Amino acid sequence: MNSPARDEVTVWDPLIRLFHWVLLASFCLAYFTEGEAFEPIQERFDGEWLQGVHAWAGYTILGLLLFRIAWGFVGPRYARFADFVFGPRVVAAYVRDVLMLRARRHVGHNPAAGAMIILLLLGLTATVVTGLALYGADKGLGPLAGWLLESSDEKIHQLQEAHEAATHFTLLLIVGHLLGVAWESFLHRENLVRAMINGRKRR
Amino acid sequence: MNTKTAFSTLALLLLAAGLVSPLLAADSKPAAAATTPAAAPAREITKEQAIEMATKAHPGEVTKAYEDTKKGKKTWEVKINGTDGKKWEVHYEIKTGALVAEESK
Repeated sequence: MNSPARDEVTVWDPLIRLFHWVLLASFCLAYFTEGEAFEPIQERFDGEWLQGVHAWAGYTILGLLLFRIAWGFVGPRYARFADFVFGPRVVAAYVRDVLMLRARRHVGHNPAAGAMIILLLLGLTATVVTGLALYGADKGLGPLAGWLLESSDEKIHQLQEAHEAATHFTLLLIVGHLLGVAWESFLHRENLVRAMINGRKRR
Repeated sequence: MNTKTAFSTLALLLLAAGLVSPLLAADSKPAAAATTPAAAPAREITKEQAIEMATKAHPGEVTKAYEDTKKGKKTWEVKINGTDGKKWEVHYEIKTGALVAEESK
């Protein structure tokens, strides 16, 4: 590993970066394989294969979520929840400062980014749990099949709606996350995308 | 990364893998069917037969037909752009030819 330049510090550890990009890839894969917006493309692929890829992308996200939660307690300083989870008042005050272009720069996650991470983890958990429930009820596959196989068609339909709602909620958060990254990069004149690739930020 | 971090990382990855793997095992075979099939003479159907049955019930253009698991049963799923303006998904059990589900949107 290259040693960081003198005025730079390694903020994002290699596992956090790997987590971030594998999560992005898995979410995109899951969305492209079953998302309604991509039906014209999906029609060119084998339906069973698409569903298999979708389920595996979902399991990957589940594994990543479990890792991230554990890493939030035992990982390096900037990966820990204790470093970036603040109360609602601090978050609101920070968001106000951001909008007024006077927010203080944080080397790790700022309070708004911290709140976004928690929301994203919740959104993804809801998406994965409803997905697993749907997989069990509709197809009779996966770990929840034993409990949910005898679900009525109405229940299956509700699970489908819940899975879609959780996905759309998560997508909305992703848009917010991207806006936040762009805004903060502009505000503090630094490339936050690059920082999530090489892990380094200026001191 | 120092040795301690490396070890805790490895331990975490193993933990995550351990937690997920039993879930994956459940995927390999469908759970037992909820209801026992009716005593009707069971007869295995081909994909072509499934398509024929589906288009008879819902005339239209067949966009896709493939093997799929539905409610714990191996089925032929037939997708149809119906002449009634609806998109139909019809599932027939491969082993018996019984209708397992039909949905429209």
